[in-house]
Amino acid sequence: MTMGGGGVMKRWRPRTLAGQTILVVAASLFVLQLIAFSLYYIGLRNQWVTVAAAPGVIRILEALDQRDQPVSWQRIRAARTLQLTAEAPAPRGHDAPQVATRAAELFRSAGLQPLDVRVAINQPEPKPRLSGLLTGKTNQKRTDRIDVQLSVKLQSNRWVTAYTRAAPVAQPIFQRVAVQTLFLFGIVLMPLVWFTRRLAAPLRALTSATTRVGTPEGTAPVPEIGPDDVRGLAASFNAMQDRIRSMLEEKDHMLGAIGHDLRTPLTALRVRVETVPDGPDRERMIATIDDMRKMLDDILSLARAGRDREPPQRVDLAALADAALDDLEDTGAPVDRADMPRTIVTVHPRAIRRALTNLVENAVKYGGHAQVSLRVEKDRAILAVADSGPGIPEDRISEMLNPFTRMEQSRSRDTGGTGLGLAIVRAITSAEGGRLHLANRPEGGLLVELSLPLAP
Amino acid sequence: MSARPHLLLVDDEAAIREPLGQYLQRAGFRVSEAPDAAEARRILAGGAIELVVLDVMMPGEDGLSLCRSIRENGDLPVILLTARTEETDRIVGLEMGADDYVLKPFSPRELVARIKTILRRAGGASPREVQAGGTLYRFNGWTLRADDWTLTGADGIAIPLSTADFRLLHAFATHPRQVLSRDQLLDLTRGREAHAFDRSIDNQISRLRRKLEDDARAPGLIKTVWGGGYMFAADVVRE
Repeated sequence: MTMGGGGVMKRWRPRTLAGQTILVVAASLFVLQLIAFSLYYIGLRNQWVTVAAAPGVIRILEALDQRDQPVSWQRIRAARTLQLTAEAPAPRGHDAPQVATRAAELFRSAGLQPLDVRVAINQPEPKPRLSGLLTGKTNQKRTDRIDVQLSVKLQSNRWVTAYTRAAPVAQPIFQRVAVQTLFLFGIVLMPLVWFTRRLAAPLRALTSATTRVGTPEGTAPVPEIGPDDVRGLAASFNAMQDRIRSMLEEKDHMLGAIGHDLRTPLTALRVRVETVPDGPDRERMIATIDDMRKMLDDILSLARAGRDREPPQRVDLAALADAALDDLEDTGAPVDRADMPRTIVTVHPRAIRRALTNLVENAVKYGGHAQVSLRVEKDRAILAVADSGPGIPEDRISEMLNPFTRMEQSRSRDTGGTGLGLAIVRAITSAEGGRLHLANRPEGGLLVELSLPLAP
Repeated sequence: MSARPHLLLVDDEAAIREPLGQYLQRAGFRVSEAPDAAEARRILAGGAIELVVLDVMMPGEDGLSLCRSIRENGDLPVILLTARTEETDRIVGLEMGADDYVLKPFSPRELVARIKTILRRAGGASPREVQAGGTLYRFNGWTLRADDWTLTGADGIAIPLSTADFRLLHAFATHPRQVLSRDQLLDLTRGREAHAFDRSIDNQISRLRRKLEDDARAPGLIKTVWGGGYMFAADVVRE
């Protein structure tokens, strides 16, 4: 039950700044209303005690007429609504000690010292229906009169009893609580709704801008609106974003410069190698230059992953895989491919093509050949590349995704490549909103799954 | 092609230009060298140049801009030397009217082979149509994007093309309503990996027809011309 209750609480708890603020203020207002009405009700009751006691006291005092000393019992007897008895009369209705105490006070303030005061009130006990309680339309005829029996013992064996009536305290109090609460909520909450929305709007803009920081499309400056502290946040966010943008631009510029500046001497070297006589040395020099070129390409690809400025396109992933595999097959790579269903994803086709090419090249390099398949699971498309190579020790799988990590301890580039292939795949995958999963197949070999969200 | 074809080599880096110039001379070419676009224009004005080898990245006016102005003024073949690897940049070079490109660092032997191919082709002259414009080609409801090698249909779904398919369709899109012989198509689509395109042009055509949903028995887009080759029967709008 508690869990269920917690669930309900959670479901009903507002999540937004505006919602929570409004809830807290509304709850506080309601508690405040309850306190105020309790105090009001207590005051009302207090007043009613006096109202109930006063008529009887006044009537008795009038009958006694203070100037006639000693007590003029005759006049009391003469008064029709007063009763003179030797003993306390049988109470009609139930005891009302509060009213009795108040009556005693009134007698004392009039200079009389009553020996005992008893009050019984007889309220035709209304059992108001709930609907009556809420609407305040309780049966007025039953509740607008309360019989008050006030007895005062002035001397031993002398009880004077007055019978009066009082109006009931019962007001349509619940109705008033409801109406006032609604009224108050209207006055306080409506501006609050407006205000918190105004407060939250720049925060929401900031949130959506933050998720776009560092992405290629970048983000427009956040409007600097709202109260000063929120405005300050937006302003400093904009300044931060400018710094990040210039850092990223600097990085791109620097990598471009490295790519260009290193390629120039490498090209000069490559041209001069042609003057070396044919032989194993020359071949090795050419191979080394080629490795350096590949490494430069890979470093630049890694740096550029996710920095594509073009918007992504809705692409048939099966056609993409087919095109990439056609190209690989044209270079002689042994690739098995399953029939791939038409699957639409929203990506940068060149980037995903590069990722798939890297995966297949890895599979061919380590496993001799690659099996490529495409399937759909729930809302994701999964491109799988499997090989029959040695796989990767379980404890090194996550490490393999880091740049410059290769399977061989020797770092031999004959089979190891630059060690950037999987890092590029991972960078592209995360930039395209996908996930990369590496696992050893039970039958041996490595299985790499690249999953992408299906286009809506 | 003359006995010693006259090349113009434009590169701001003396470390590349000088040894490459010597290598090309040994390979049987007459070579003029220019360190920048201004000098290149001066030499070109003197005439007699048969092919330009042009570095893309140069201070001042860059290679792409010089390439475009060479193309606007005539039919002189251009090979670009480029350090960039992204397909965008590769294709931009071709869109600027270059005949070929090599990526730095390149094998000088390969450069020589390409120069010879292009000079041979220039002698026999493949039809070449260069329009100004961007990298989008629209025809019959399809859009070919030259920057990322995709073909987009009316449903807005991009179909990536293999290198061979792309080059073939690009050749058609840049030569609409012209009869292209198989040899001309081979010339226009041959890339650096000559072996990559060993598939016969006819096979490639039927693959491309499938992708374009063009009925092979009654093709409406890529028409077979008896004894001639193929013709791309669509008007192409380049954007």
